[in-house]
Amino acid sequence: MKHAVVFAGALVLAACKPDLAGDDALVTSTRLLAVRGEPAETAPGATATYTAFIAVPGGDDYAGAVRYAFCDALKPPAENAVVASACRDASTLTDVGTTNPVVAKTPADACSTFGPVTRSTGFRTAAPDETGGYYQPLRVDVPHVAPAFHLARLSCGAGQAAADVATEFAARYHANENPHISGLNGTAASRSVSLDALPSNARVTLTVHWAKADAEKYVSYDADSASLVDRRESMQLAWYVDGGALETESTSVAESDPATSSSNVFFAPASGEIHLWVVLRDARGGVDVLSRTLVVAR
Amino acid sequence: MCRDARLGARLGVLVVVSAGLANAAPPPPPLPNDDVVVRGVRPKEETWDARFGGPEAAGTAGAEGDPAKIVEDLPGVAHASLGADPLVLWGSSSSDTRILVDGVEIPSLFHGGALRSTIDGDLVGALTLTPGAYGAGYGRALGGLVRIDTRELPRDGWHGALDVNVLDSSAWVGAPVGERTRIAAGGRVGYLDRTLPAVGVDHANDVFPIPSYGDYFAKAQMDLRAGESLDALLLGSHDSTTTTANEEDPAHVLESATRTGFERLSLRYRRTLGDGAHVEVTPWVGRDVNTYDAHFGANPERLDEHDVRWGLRAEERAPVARTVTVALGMDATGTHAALERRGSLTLPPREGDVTVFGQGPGSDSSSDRFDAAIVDVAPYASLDWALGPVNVEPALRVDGYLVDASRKTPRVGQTPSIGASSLVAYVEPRLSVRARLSSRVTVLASAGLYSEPPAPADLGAVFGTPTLHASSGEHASVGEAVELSRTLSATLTGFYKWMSGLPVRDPSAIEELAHALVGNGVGRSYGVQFLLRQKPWHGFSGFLAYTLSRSERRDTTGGAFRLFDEDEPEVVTVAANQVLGAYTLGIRVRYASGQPRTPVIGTFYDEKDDVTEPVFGAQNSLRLPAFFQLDVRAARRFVLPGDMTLSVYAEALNVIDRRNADDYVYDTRYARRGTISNIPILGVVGVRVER
Repeated sequence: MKHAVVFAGALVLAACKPDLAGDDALVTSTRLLAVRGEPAETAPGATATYTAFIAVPGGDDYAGAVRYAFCDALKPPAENAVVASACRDASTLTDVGTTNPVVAKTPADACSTFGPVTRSTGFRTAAPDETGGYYQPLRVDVPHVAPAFHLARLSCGAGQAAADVATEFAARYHANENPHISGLNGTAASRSVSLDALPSNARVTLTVHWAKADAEKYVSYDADSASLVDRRESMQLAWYVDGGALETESTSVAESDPATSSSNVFFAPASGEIHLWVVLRDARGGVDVLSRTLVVAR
Repeated sequence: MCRDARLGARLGVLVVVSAGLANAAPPPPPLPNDDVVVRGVRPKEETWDARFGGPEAAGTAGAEGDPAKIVEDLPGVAHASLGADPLVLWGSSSSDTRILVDGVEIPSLFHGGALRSTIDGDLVGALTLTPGAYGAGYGRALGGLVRIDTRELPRDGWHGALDVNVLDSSAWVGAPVGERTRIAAGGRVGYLDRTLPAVGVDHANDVFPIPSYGDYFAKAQMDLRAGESLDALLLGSHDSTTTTANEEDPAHVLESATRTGFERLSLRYRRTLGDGAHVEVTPWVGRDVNTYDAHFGANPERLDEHDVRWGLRAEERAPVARTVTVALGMDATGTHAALERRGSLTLPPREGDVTVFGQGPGSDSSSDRFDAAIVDVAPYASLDWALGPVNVEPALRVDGYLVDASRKTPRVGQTPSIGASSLVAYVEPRLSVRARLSSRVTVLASAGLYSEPPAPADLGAVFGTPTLHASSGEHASVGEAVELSRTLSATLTGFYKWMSGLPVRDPSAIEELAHALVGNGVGRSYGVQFLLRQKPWHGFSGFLAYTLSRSERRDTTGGAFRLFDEDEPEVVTVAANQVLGAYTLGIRVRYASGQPRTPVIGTFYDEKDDVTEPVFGAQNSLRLPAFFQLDVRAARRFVLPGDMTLSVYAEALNVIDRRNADDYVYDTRYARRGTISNIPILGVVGVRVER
């Protein structure tokens, strides 16, 4: 900030945030990166397998404890958070298991607690997210790591739609499936490079690929128009390394963008082995994780 | 008795007569001369009223030539964060304060970011701030009043002004037309949003978007018979902002666009009768627009509100005996709103929400489309009884609110809508007692009941509650005014407010259908304020304003009180101006306690959205650092031929370049906390030519 008399433009120059940006992509301690449910969307009473992906600096496998528990508390609409603050209270939690992965049965009342099924006449039901989805919160605790919540997508139907629209929705809706990362490649100075022999101190563009079908098409109920709309999943990628640096922590591909890849820039150190993790998420909560060691040649 | 009956009869017919004046009234007789001044029995100012003339207010350092900006310096007013509406009066939200221009309600006194007022400074004749405990002639506000009297248009040839500065440019011109009519028109255009990019300031909109703004007015005054006049006033204002951040990543892009504005057209009929009675009738119509369209990544947020507004104020104030003056009046308004909302139920934030600056909305998405109408008809009467040195003014106002929402329950499929409607009357007695203890000392006490209807946007079945009722309040104040000299005065006022039925979010996890808001909020505020004011004396003028207060809210029945989001225990302003020949020098010093904030004491990870979310500690248990700012102003006036003057002015705000904290902000993982700073040292220069 300049310490000089400036004209009105200074109003904005100074009214800015302090630079608090840290390197969110740098893994310096054990960190939970993602939780994948398989299948990625379940009906109440159905079984799914949940896997927590936990990064450890150096790329070692995580061998510690993981505790899974469903949260039964409905978030008050007044709370500006993804889950109820009560989900931090043990009394609202139903233990699922302590193995990783863990197999769990989706609560039978999930669509009335967290979905559009009316529990009692005259009371509000949960609101969907922008994709029309409803979610059962699954708390995941890893020692010495902030609690995490996975939102397990529920098959609950079209919410407040009229009967004919709900019937059409049931016929056309395709339950979410997890995306799959199909490849990772790197380029430096416009030339392809081996991830096992990256140039020292190079600026390497890393590109993650997935299949076209992984960005699934689906129908969603639009309350504004009281009709179904055809949509396509957007894709979001979170990037992590335990050394070197990344240009950005996240990249994404918008719903309207047919691209099947996304790139980030990795600033390689002088030498050594760097571990890279990439989490690919689709808009409906599907997940895949890539874990890869990058070798920087001396 | 006979006289009282005549008053009522006059009031009853005034509405009809004034509506037909333009077409039906015969041409008025020629006026004897140009010195027609409408005089009558005017409502008194309360001890805690702060009334400033337009030029005096405009010349205050820090006002940037804008007289309405003086309100932020006056006692009873909290210091506002940059970009916030600075009308938190006696611990009430700014939305609880009514702004009236010649008796016509407007929705906002300031353009976005409070850089400028929406009323052209050249139109402002005087500004009166009443932070609470106001008289029966006004209502619909649990906070206070800001009343602007527009200037009387000149009778002696044409007048006008052109003002160009780094923020905006404005101009007006006015002239007599014939013997009895005067007209004036003007406007202002802001260009800061365009000049900043032009001078290479990037990311100007990252935190506080700079608005594109403008406003205009037209006024006509016509002298009718002796002591009788008719004014027409057209007002308009518009603001728009656009913001884009994180545009390289569609998943985290933040885009928002806002558009607000209003238009008003009013007539004001005034007549002073031979017995000293004064009659004033003001019908008006207008429209407001308020739109907000944003995207937080893939999550859209939208509010679209279009209101048609109308109103009618009619009052006759007349002496009915040597010591008794009676006022009878009618104050009616209507709002017919068409609304669309979409997005998270938690946006936009409300008073009492626990959040941090920049926190995104929840991923829940709802939508609603509805109409709402609020009509308030409020007859009132007051009696001013002089008992020697004591004046007693009992008053009664009855606000009858018709509140109508087009949908009682959320839309389900194609289910036809069933509306909700309520008609509730609030009887509001008010009492004011003024005792003149000596020629220099006056003591005044006031108390009364007040009410405020719900906002139309709160009447939706999804985001609000269609059956929401008006809030109510009790105000009490006692003060002393001392005239230390002919130009130096001091006032000390203590105040207490109790507010109930405030709309707050339903804290229930399983809430009733169409009850997102409940009228369970309670508020209280109390404190003292002091104003030492020097009116112009040998070229020197200024004031010292001090407020010591506490404001609290309770969101649930039986719950504990917490601090009001904008509670500021201490606010001090010292402003002084000195005229030295052609030069005017000014200085302003402001201090304010920091506003409360809620600390972040932990985090959890939202794995689906890859976002770290905060865990909050006790609500409003943390305070921002105190605010302190020093501003200076200098102006040089040159006399030009043709009765014209040229003024060159310069202001420097925050000359000590103090980094005042406007809010706390956190990194994305809530591991580090910083502060958003208010303006640095800032210069505003301008040139003004006027005649």
